[in-house]
Amino acid sequence: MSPRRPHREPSEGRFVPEPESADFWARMRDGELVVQECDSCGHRQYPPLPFCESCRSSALGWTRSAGAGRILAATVVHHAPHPLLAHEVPFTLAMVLLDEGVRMCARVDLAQDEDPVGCRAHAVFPADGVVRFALDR
Amino acid sequence: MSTASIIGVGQSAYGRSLPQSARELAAAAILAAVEDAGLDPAEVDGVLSFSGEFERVDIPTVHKLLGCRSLSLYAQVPFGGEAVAGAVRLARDAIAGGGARHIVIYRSLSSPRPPKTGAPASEPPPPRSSSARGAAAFALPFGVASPAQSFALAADRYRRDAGVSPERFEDALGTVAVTARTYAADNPVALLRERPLSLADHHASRMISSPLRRDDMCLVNDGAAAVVVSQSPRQGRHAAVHVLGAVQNLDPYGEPFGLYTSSPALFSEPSQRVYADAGMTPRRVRVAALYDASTFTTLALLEQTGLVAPNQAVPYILDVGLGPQSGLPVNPHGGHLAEAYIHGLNGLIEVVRQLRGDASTPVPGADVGLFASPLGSAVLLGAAA
Repeated sequence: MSPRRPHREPSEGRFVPEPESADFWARMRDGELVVQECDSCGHRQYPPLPFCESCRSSALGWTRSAGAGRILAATVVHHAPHPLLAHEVPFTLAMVLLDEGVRMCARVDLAQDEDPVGCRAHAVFPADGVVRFALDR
Repeated sequence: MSTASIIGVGQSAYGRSLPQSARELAAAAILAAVEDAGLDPAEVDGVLSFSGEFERVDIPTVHKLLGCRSLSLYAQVPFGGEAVAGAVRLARDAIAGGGARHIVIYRSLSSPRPPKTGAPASEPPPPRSSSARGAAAFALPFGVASPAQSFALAADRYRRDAGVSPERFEDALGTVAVTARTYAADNPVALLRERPLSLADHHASRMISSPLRRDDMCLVNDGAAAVVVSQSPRQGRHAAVHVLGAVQNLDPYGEPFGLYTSSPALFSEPSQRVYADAGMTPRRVRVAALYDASTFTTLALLEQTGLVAPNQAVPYILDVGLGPQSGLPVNPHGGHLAEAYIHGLNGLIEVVRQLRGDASTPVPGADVGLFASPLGSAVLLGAAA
């Protein structure tokens, strides 16, 4: 048997997508990171909401993120907090401040014992369809 | 002027995988609290549950248990540890407004249940609501499925902001764990009372999500607890303890797992409204129960509650400490780290016991006590004059 894991859609067994974030997932599968942007006031927010958290407008769209940002915090996850993650530990989880001004928690791929905090990082799109980050070199 | 008092506290057995059901545990705790209050169970006319989406014992069951002559107030306060203060606030306001006279607040935990901090999950957690389902979509696909992970990220950011070395930070977290375990040795109901811990033990314990280790995490257990909030300061077995202040707070970015709170440091929201509510300052606090989902939450709450100046929690813990001789004992029952995890209610009970004089490790002269949870919810209690 192949040790490779089968390709898995991000929604498979993991969550129930909401209508307001369907575009987010669809575009991420195509290798594009988008953040919600208010058509009225330009505020950007993540995770998506059905309204603007700044001006309460319901006129919201998506703006493409350059996928670049700075790492604010990181943790090495050794203990799988969920059966779906059991074969993935240890991995590094980071809080990234995207240049578009929103924070996003995602995995970051590192060389061993590297401290990523404070580093610039960019989005990468692995086969499972969920964005990760890698440090700029 | 206090309008409400806590006149009774009760708890079931605490333990891992107890044979009793959640309803049996709840009944034991609630009846013990009502007896402690010196009430006829039928006199109870208010029942509040909290953490409603996780609580397995419903209010009609408690109504039936007590045989309430008239149940004029019942409600559920949602979410986690912050809900304890919310329930106390609701009880106090209901009493002040004439909505009820004797109100039971309870919490019962029995496996199977949703995963707690650091705990392995045997199955995906049940959905909490449609909106939480939406927020949860932005956790698990990214590798987040436990509060331990968001505490770990917040701890990492905190450490850097406070300018603390990883070694000193680990020593401070370890000191919180060791202190809790030391207190637990004198608490006959503490689950880890016979499990002493050294700083070296802590540093050698299994890493869960760096910098947090197994010994930084709260227990996972079965058990129930209850308190009775009453209009009258009449005495049961013990002196009544007055509700001096109670505030509820909610960070609107709390889900999923507090990742997207309004600041990356997670605990930026000051919880100092409770002092204004009580008309006093943090300096009056003589004993504190801080919601220790992890050692880091204890550390962060020291600052959030104004007991310690911003960015000073690590030197405070290392130099002054949280022990019996510190001048401000914290979690003298052992807390969620070493007594049991009852979603904060056992911390509230500890403050009550300290102020009326039947705690396992009494703090001499304690007349004002604080119970505080992350994200700004807190209760201030005062001893009877």
